[in-house]
Amino acid sequence: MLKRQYYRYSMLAPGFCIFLVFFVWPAVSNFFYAFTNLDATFKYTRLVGFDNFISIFEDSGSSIAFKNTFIFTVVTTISKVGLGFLLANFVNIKLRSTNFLRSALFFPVILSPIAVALAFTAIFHPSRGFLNVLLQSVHLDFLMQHWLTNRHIIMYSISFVETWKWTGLTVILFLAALQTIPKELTEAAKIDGATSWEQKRHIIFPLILPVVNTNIIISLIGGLKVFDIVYALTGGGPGNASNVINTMVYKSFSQGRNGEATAASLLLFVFILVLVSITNKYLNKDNRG
Amino acid sequence: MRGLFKKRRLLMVVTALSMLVLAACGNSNNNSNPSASPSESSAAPATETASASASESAPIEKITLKALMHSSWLKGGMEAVLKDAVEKTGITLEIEKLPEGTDGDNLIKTRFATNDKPDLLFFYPAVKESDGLGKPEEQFVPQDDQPWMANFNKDVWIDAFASSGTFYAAPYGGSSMAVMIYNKKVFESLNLQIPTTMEEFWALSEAVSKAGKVPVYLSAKDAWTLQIPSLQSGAAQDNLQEITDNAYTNKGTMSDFTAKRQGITFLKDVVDKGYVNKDFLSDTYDNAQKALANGDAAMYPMATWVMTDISTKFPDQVNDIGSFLIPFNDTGKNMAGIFPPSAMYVVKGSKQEAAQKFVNYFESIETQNIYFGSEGGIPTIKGITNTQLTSAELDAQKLADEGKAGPVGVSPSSGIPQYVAGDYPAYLQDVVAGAKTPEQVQEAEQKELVKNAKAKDDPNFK
Repeated sequence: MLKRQYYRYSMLAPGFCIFLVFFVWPAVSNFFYAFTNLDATFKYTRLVGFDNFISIFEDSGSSIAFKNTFIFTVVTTISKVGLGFLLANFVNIKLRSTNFLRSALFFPVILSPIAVALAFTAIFHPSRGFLNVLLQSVHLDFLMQHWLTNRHIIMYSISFVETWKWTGLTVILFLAALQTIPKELTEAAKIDGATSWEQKRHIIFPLILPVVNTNIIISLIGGLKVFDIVYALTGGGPGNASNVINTMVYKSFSQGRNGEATAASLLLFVFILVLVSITNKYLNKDNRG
Repeated sequence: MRGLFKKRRLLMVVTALSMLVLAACGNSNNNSNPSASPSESSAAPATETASASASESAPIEKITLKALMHSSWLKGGMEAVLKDAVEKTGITLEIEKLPEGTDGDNLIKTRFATNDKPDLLFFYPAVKESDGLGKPEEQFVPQDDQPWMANFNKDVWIDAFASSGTFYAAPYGGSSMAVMIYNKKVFESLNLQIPTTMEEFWALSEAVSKAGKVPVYLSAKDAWTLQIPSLQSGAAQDNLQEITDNAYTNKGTMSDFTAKRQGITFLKDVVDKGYVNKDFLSDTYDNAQKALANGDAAMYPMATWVMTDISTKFPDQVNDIGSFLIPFNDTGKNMAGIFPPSAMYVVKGSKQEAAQKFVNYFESIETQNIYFGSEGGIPTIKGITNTQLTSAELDAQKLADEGKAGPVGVSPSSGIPQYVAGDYPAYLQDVVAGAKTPEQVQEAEQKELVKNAKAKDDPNFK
């Protein structure tokens, strides 16, 4: 019996060691470093208590970063899930081009975020960009904007790029869920005289609710953790106009205040944990109800 | 029984594989750690190099050195030198090109923090501990006693190159000056003269604007380019050393750099008056070169290093470009800001002898002639005869000859630590976007400086 136990643990040991060294240890040390004056050379001289956290909240740029992260998360979650659901229903219809459409919708997901950002930087250029040139050519000049430099709309422009890139993933998840719904249920509803909307409202939607929850959670986490697309599109600028929490963390690192940067990432971790827990609890309750 | 044997064999295989993975990790770490005790194989090249130099008749030993450099720093001059170096010294430089600005700097910091260091580092001169690479004396080989120093004017460059009195940096490339670059043909076609007062400057801008051209081109998408006007105005700062020392000892603030603020205010004014390109927040350094060379823009506040790029991209227009001083103080004290050249550092490690050999070769007059024969810039090594100075660089050099040039900034005096004062280019983007005033930029810099000083437990900032 003892030998069997020993055998199990010995098989687990290599993987567990790797997990401990590369995942658990960095996470635990990150907690610790958030309370130190860790510098650019990854050395610290003392514990600073909550100074790093106070410094983050005292910085005027932080409020912009938190606000932008919030806008980005809300906008992208709603658009990715909403649009994903609609498109999944569309590509669930049997058409000649269905396979092509499914591939086309998923294509942006596999593209590098940097390549996407570079392409959209060119598309969004105020005078030479495709978008404004198109608007001008169809006499919609009043809609032309400085998409990536006007601080009032910049976060929505970035959210659009994120939605374009990641909606394909929510489509695939929704599509998988839609295809598991037995046809008998919708056929029976049709015979009973249910309209298309009633079928969706009372049969399809309740059955795919767990996937809706998954998509919301994935989108929330992705929104809160955003970095690459923002940094590649605007670098957090102009000035601090499009800073999000992770670009703020990056800037703290580049200033050599690694303790403050780890404190900001710890804060982000707590936000994600709390928000996702609340959302999950609420959605699961809804699911059960 | 047979099952147990199989399980044991499986266990042994898993254990062996795990050990292999860990050993591989460990091995790669050793390879990238030049500060570790030199192994036999890594020590060998240095010895071979020494013996090669000892005997001329002996064939040149080949050696490859690893180097880190911002990608835009590798241009025609260095490419010509690299070819020559292989023939004459047997040294091949394997250069890892890094992104520009802060991103590249962060990569370098990370490589040093993780002990994954190159043999040669191309970085900014006068490296300090606050640059995040560690203590200079622990990381780099001092250059004070090296033969190339004989052709280098230590007294002129001590502020710009030395770290606490010791030279670790060897000059790489030529020096440049922060000035206003302009298109002579645009000026001639509109019958305009180089302005000597700000009133004349604004009148000139108005004339250019009326002619349908961009008076002053700003490339704010590349935020670093916005620094040039304040670096030019800042060069005229009186008591620069004293103000700098006071700022870093908490006896003064960043707002005391009044001359620098003139350049920031210039940025705000030029935008407020509408004398800039329409999409200045989306336009880049590259767009600016094109607009200036083509004559779509009349002026571009930039350092003379832009001429190397213009020479390559627009060789036919290079003589149409000149430079002058923005007359911030009208007929008073106006100075061009001198940028020292970039620097190369010999990193302490198993290949430091070979790296030093390369530096001595690079700084020799013969090699410098090869370098400056293929690339612009004003040499800092004495005795260089083969240069390709453009008209704009010659204009700037003339300013220096007339005594109208000063350093773009100085380090605090020996013993006073220097701290980063925030993301200055981002603050300037805020100015041109209308989100900050020049005064607020300096306040933000001060706030960041204090934050960084406190993080380092500086007793002056308690």
